[in-house]
Amino acid sequence: MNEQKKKGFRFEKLRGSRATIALFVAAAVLLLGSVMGSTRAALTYYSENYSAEIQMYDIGVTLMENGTAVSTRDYSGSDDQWEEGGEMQLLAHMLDSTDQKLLVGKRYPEELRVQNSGNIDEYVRVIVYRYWVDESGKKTDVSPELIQLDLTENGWILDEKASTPERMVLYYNQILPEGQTSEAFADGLTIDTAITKNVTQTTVTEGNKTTITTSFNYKGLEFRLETEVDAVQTHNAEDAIKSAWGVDAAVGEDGSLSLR
Amino acid sequence: MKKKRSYGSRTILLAALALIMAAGLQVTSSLAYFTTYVTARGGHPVTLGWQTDLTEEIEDLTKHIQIQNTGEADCYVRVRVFAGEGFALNFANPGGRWTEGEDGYWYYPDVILAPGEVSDELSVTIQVPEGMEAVADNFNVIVVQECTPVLYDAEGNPYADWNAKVEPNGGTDETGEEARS
Repeated sequence: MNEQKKKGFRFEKLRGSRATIALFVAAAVLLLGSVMGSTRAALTYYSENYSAEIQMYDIGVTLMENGTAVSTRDYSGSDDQWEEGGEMQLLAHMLDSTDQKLLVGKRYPEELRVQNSGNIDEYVRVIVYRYWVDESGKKTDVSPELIQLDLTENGWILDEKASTPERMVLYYNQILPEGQTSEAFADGLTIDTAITKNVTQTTVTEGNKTTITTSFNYKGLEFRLETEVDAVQTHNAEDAIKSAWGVDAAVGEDGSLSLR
Repeated sequence: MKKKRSYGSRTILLAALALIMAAGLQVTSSLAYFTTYVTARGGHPVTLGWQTDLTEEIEDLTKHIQIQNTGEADCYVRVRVFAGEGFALNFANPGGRWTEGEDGYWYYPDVILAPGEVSDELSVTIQVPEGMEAVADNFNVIVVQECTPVLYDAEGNPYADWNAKVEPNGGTDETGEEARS
C-alpha cells in the first residue's frame, strides 16, 4: 500500500514536471513563432521593396537660424549611419550688425525654425536652455529671464509643466511634412537692461576727492543659448511620442498634436 | 526533499527564461520607433564694467574739468558744480560738446564715451563778489561727475537712464559712478 502510494506520488510529480516542461516548450515555440513571423515578414518586405524601404524610412531634422541651417542629423538609410551637418553653433552672426559688440537692450533678430530634412513626416519638439556663465562656470544667481527669447507661440505649444525660467519646452502642434519648414518658434533675442543693476558700490576718499564707484558684479559674464530639436515618426504617434519623449500627447484625426 | 528543491529551482529557471524571452520581444518593439535630434548652442560676453575718472586743473579761479572713461564699457557722463550761495559760476565749453541741462547738470548728451576716451574740457570760473577779493583763495567749488552705462532700445538706439535705480550691496539706491572733489 505504501509502495503504491509512493509510486503514485512519484508519477504525479513526474507528470507535473513533464507538464511544466511541456507548457514551457509550448510557450517558447509560440514566442519564437511570433518572432520568426515578424522576421519573415521583415525579410519579405526588404527583399521585395528594398529600394522603396530606403526612401521611406529616412528620418531627419534640421535647426534653422535666420534662414540658415545650423545643425542637421539625417538617417542615411542603413547600418545606423547618420549624416550630420552644420556648425552646431547658434548666434555666430548675431553681432555682425553692431560691430561685434553686444548692445544691452537691443532686440536682435533670432528667427528659429525646424526643417524636416528626412523623407518621412514627423512630429517635432524643441527644448531651449538659456543661462549665464562666467570664468568660474555656470552662474545660477543671475536670472535666465534676463536673456529674453521672444517666443512666437504661432503653431507651437509651450509645455508650461516642463518649462522653467532656464528651460522652455515647445511642441509643434501639427505634423511637419517631409521637406517642409515649421513656423518660427522664436524671432528675437534681447539682453534685458536690468542686467546692469547687478552692481557693488565702493567709496574711496583721497584728499579732497571722494569717488563712489558702482562696479558690475560679474567679470567675464556671458549668456548662453542652447537648443535641442527632437523628431519622431508619425505612425503610431502617441505611443512613439510616449516612448521617445516620455510625454502623453493626443493626436487628432487631422494629425494635430496636443498635450494631455 | 532534495527532489523538491531541484524541482523548485528548475521552475524558477524556466520562469526566468520565459521572462527574458518576453522582455527580449518587448525591447525589439520599443526600438522600432524612428527618432532623431539635433543640438546647437552659442552665446556672447556682456561687457558692463563702467568707470570714469575726473581730472581737474585749477588755474586762478578757474577749474578745467575733463572726464576719462577708465572702464571696459561705453558710458554717458554728466557734471554738476556747486559753490557757496551768492557766488556765481561761469561755464566755458570750448569744444561745444557739453550741454547744460535744466536740472543744473552739464551733459555729454549725444556722445558715448568709449573706454579710454577723454571728454572735452568744461571750464568753470567762480565770480568773487565785490569786497571779498581778500579771501579768494579759500573758496570751495565742488565738482560732481557721474557716469551711467549706455543702454539701447529695441531698435538699437542708445540712451542714458539717469533715473535707473540699482541696489548696490543689496541696499542704497544710487545712480552710476560719482566723483566729488
